[in-house]
Amino acid sequence: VSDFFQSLIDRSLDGIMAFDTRLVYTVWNHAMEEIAGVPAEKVIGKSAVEVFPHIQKTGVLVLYERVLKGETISIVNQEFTYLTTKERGYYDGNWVPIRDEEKKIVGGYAVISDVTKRNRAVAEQKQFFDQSLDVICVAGLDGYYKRVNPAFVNLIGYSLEELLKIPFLELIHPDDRAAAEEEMKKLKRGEPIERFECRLVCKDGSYHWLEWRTSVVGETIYASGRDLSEKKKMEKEVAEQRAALVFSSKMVALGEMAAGIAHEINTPLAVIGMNAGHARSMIEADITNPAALLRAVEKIESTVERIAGVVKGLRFFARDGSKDRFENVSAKIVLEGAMGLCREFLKNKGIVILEGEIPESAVIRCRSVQMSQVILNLLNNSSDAIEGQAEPWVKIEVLEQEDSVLISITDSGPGIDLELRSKIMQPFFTTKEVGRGTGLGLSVARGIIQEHGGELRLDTECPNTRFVIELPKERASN
Amino acid sequence: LINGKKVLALVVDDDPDLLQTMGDCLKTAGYDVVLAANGKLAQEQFDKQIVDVVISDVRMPEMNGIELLRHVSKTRPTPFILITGHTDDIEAKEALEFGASTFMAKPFRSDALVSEIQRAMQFNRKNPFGIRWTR
Repeated sequence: VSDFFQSLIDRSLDGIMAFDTRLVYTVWNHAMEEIAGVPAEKVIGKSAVEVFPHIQKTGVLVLYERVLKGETISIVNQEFTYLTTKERGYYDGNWVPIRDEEKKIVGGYAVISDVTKRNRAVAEQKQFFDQSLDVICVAGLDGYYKRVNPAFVNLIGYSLEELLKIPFLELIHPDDRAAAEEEMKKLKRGEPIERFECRLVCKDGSYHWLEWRTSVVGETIYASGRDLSEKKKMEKEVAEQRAALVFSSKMVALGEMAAGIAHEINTPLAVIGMNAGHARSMIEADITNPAALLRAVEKIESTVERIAGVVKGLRFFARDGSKDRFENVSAKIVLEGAMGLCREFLKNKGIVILEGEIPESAVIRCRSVQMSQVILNLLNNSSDAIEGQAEPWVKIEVLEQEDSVLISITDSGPGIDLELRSKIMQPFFTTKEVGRGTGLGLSVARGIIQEHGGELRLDTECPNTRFVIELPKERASN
Repeated sequence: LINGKKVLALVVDDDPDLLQTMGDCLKTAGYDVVLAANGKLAQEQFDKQIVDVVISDVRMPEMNGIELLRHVSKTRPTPFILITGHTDDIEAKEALEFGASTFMAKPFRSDALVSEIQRAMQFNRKNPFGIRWTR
């Protein structure tokens, strides 16, 4: 063997070995040493049966004999046992006879490729593919699935055969198809998709939300999708529960104010009753004083309007405003609406309302019903905190900034303890005694403000207790 | 008329509409009237002159009706009618314990107010410790 061929044999990544008619090894290259786990010096010059006694049992010996009879044999995935580790392995091999110039067989050689690792990788891949809870599919840029895993088949209800014949975009919910087509454009440019949510339409017409991650290699798309239906359902439930909580916390706040509201209505009713009585007694006593009579009637009329205003405010507040449209409203009007409901309630607790600076020009983009609720929640907290102080007060101010409006509600309290600051916005956290607070007021208020694209925060710089609502300014409607 | 003079009523309420209306009604019914917008102002008026009857709201800024009632009870056995928009019994009970003659819940009619004033003054003369309350 020339130096060239010798080097070729030595450096081959496949195992190469040769043997003569007596099955004595004449070539045993480095790769062969690796695969068989036996060094060349223990093999060369010795017969196969001597080195590997077990080959008589395993049937490998037959291969040698067939080659020596002139047969060329290709073997795929032949099982074998590693001598060193006793582990099972697999090889692909070509067994070829060697002939001299007269075509007489003088031996044989074999080129052996260890496919154990490849087999294992393929087997593992298949396991993952088959057992994955997520759907996995291989598709082509031609728009058809090439392979899908059992999870996919189970989810969608079509058989594998059916699936391979349907363009995959047709299985996407019509409302999501345009978005999916956009994503396809990305794939065609070779860009992977980190995250894409869409609904898959199943054979029975139902649909599932899936979150996809997709990559593309050449013409082939590899995608895995996670079923989000449960998550989406839960998100929806959580949103509904939250809305219900918001509403119930509002009703609690309303209940707390009920006494104030009763007063707010009963007092003007007394005005009406008294004026009516006044008018009646004048008529009964035949006192002809049209001016006095008119004054009583006018008082009745104006007081009816006053009560109507209170009732309107109540209805406005009791309504669930979470689905209202955002509107550009003057901050002053929103605050006055909310204050109208609270004034009596605060006054009853002896709390003085200091009307701070409220610029007429400040316009906020909001759902006014929800904004009143936020103001009311904050004032409710204030009144609970400062009730019983020597000189309790609350102050409402509005500060207009370049692109936001700051509404601050300050009370005569001493601020909030450091260790409570991080907790006060958490749902169900309350420092109020049992039965007085739900622990939802601030968290609901913050949720609402965040929905408005704004922020609700405690002003820790203020020596008193001050909450600041920052809201984006009106947006020019188009 | 008491001893040939008109009865002087001190009327106290922080609601200007109601205060004005009660004043008008009582004047029409033949009373002399002093008006006060809260307990503190009422106390000043009460200390300045001898009033025959006090009609006062309960919840007011500065000084509330109960505090005014305490002051009045300590000073003279003047009949005292408490009026309120809140209809809970606790307040009514408290009001009577503090020596109110009568407790009236808003809303009420003008003739009811007048008759309550008359009754309170009558019972007060006959039985200084007699206590009644009504709606």
